[in-house]
Amino acid sequence: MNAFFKLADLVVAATFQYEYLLKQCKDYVVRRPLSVDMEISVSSEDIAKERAKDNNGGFSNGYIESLAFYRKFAEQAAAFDCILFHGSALSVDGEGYLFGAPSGTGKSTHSALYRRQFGDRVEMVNDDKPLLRRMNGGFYVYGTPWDGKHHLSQNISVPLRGICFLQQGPINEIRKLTFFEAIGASLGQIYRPEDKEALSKVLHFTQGMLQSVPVFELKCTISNEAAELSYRTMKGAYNV
Amino acid sequence: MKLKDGVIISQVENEYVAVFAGEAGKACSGMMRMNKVSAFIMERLQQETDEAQLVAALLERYEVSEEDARKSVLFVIDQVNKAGIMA
Repeated sequence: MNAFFKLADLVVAATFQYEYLLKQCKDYVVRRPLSVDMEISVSSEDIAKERAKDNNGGFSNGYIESLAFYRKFAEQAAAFDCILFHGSALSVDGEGYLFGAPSGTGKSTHSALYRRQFGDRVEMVNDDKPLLRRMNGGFYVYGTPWDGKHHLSQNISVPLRGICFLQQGPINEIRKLTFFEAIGASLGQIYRPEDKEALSKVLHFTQGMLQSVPVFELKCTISNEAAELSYRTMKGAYNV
Repeated sequence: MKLKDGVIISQVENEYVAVFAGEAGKACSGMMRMNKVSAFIMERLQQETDEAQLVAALLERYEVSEEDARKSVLFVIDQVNKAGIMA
């Protein structure tokens, strides 16, 4: 099968075997693009390699192919100043905020608290694997269809205003991370290409991003106050 | 001795970080943070070298005693071995 997808404003000419990917990317299909930024072809060997990775037993070929496709995209995307971040991204009043944490810590829960606290002002960008991109000196977060078990995402992009790494805690407290803490925490959530040149680009992207986007660590309970605290802190920090 | 392929060293403010792609990336998914001297040794370890050459290179570049230079070299070699990124 062949299709064109537009992910993070990059046009991909995709060649693949299973309909799963086409259905997943239906909101990102473009017809007759004027130009193509990258070509991705997923082979049976790529699917077998992806299946051999951790925890991928028991999934359909279509699902595994989709993971292999996104991995290939992330390998090539670094050259376009575009990286894959494992986290939950949302927009409040059109400005983007990103939550990172190890799986199971509560990124999706924290995003859900935002929706409860701020209502219609919140739009989900992507609840699991958004793309970040540097365009004209600014950093943007993009929705993608790799959007977690609740499938919360939209094909939108917003300027990235803050990043917050979450930990569960007995009370709500937030602090700004030092540059080194921020780079360590960020690299833990960013897809790291296997290719050396691509990884080098990812590292430079991350350094650049941390110079313009403030990064925090929030220890939090599951409460509206936690959402209020992270939002106020991130919004305040960017405006300073 | 030589590092596995894929080691990337970048200056961050007044320090350095290393991350790992390719063969090195298969062994280590973390990040190493280091000072200027350790970064210098890591750079040298990207080509085939040995302890004596590393010590000599440090003495040529920095105002350090041979004893301190050797300590630094052995420290970096130890860290690299622990991280599993020596070829």
